[in-house]
Amino acid sequence: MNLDYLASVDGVLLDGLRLTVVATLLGAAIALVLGLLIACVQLARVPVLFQAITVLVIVIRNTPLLGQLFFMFYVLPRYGIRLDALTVGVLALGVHFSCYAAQALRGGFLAVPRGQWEACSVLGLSRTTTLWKVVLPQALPPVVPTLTNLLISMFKDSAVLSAITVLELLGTTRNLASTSFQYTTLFTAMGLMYLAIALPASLAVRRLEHRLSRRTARA
Amino acid sequence: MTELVNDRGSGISLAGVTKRYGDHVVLDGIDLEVPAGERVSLIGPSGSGKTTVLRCIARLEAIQSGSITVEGTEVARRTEKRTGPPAADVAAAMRGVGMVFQQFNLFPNMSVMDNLTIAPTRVLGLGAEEARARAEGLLELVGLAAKARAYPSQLSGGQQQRVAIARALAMRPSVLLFDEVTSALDPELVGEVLEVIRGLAAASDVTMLIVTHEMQFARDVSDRVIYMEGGSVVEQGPPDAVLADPADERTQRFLRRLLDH
Ligand SMILES: Nc1ncnc2c1ncn2[C@@H]1O[C@H](COP(=O)(O)OP(=O)(O)O)[C@@H](O)[C@H]1O
Ligand SMILES: [Mg+2]
Repeated sequence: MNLDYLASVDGVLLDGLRLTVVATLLGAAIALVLGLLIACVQLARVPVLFQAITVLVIVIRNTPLLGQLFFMFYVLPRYGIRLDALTVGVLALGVHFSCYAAQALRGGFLAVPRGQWEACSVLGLSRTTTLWKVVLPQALPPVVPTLTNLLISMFKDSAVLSAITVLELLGTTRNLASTSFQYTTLFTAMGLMYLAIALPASLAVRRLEHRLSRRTARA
Repeated sequence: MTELVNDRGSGISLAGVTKRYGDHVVLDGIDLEVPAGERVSLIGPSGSGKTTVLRCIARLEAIQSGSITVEGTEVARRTEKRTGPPAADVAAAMRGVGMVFQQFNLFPNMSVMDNLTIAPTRVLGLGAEEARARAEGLLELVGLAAKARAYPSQLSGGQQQRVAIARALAMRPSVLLFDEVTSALDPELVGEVLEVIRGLAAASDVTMLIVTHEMQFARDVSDRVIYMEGGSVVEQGPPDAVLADPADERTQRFLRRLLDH
């Protein structure tokens, strides 16, 4: 480890880390909203939309994220959709992970007993009130660990954005290395930075899972 | 005016209602009248269709033929007539129908108070203060005034079912449907729930349709007992007649078997 060298570039690396975090958070917001919509379409079996989404989910889950990223980056402009690399990257992350989030959310919805919907129906509550006040608050907490694990995966997988010129943490590190040749120092520092964020998050998920299982045991 | 048109307060009526699951006929063209204010107990062996009757009235199940009228409004239909009443009228009539479930179905993510106020505020448009006052009164009535801030998981089964009764009452229903509301309870908790329903029957004129296996309770609380089997009404009449001196052999057999246990 060349600490003097590291001290001279730590600001650049931290900028890369910041971009990684931003891309992850934006991607996660898209994945959550889109995942919720996909889960609703699948549960309600909305005609046409349901079939379209089924195809999308199959494609997303059975092709590499990097391939999806390239597809969006190189193909969309040919149809007049010009977006900067970061936007494409965030969209690709969001769409990719929304398919996995949808699966988790669907499980959460299905775990809410039918009697809850029926009680709402007999009380005359609207569908919106039923969903937001009764069903979602029961469907979400059990899947928070799964969703957080997806968030951690997305955080790590956001490194693929470097392949379309986004200078997030991995791209920045590689850039620096290509001129300074300080491979050991740079990639060790990069690894520690990913760890510094992903590890505490993983530990938090484990504690959360533990608490949830205790709560269900009590109920 | 609407009240005159809808003839509110005329109870429940089922005319030729058929309910099928696939080929399995659960209700076989059943006719049933419960005039406003009457307390009717529905008894019969497991699988005879008692729960289904309540669920069809509550519009939790679609019917395959016949029609169901609640407080003068036809709320479910499968007849040759072309048009039914507007959806808004159906919704208005259904607001008068409350149901208490075997499994309570309280909302576990809300306090007892919120369980009681969510429908009155969102469906009836009550102000927060008014809904709260109404809920406090009802909790008093079911003997749980001290539990307003508790969550359902912190209550015993008997307490939860009393909250569920209060939640139904918070909508000021004119019709209440009870589906074996004590069947999921430990034996020592059955009494407190039946006591609440007895009190309600004595203190109000709400129409009640009660599915129960508690024969003594049915006898005390009902004006009429209906014995069902195989999706049809077999026998009905005053509780003393049906329960103590049934005319139909099937009713006799059912009651005898109940006594043996
Ligand atoms: N969702 C369903 N799908 C298929 N069959 C059902 C369903 N619900 C009830 N049944 C059948 O309908 C019959 C009547 O059920 P139910 O009304 O619950 O009877 P009871 O309340 O008198 O015990 C039973 O044979 C039951 O198996
Ligand atoms: Mg039943």
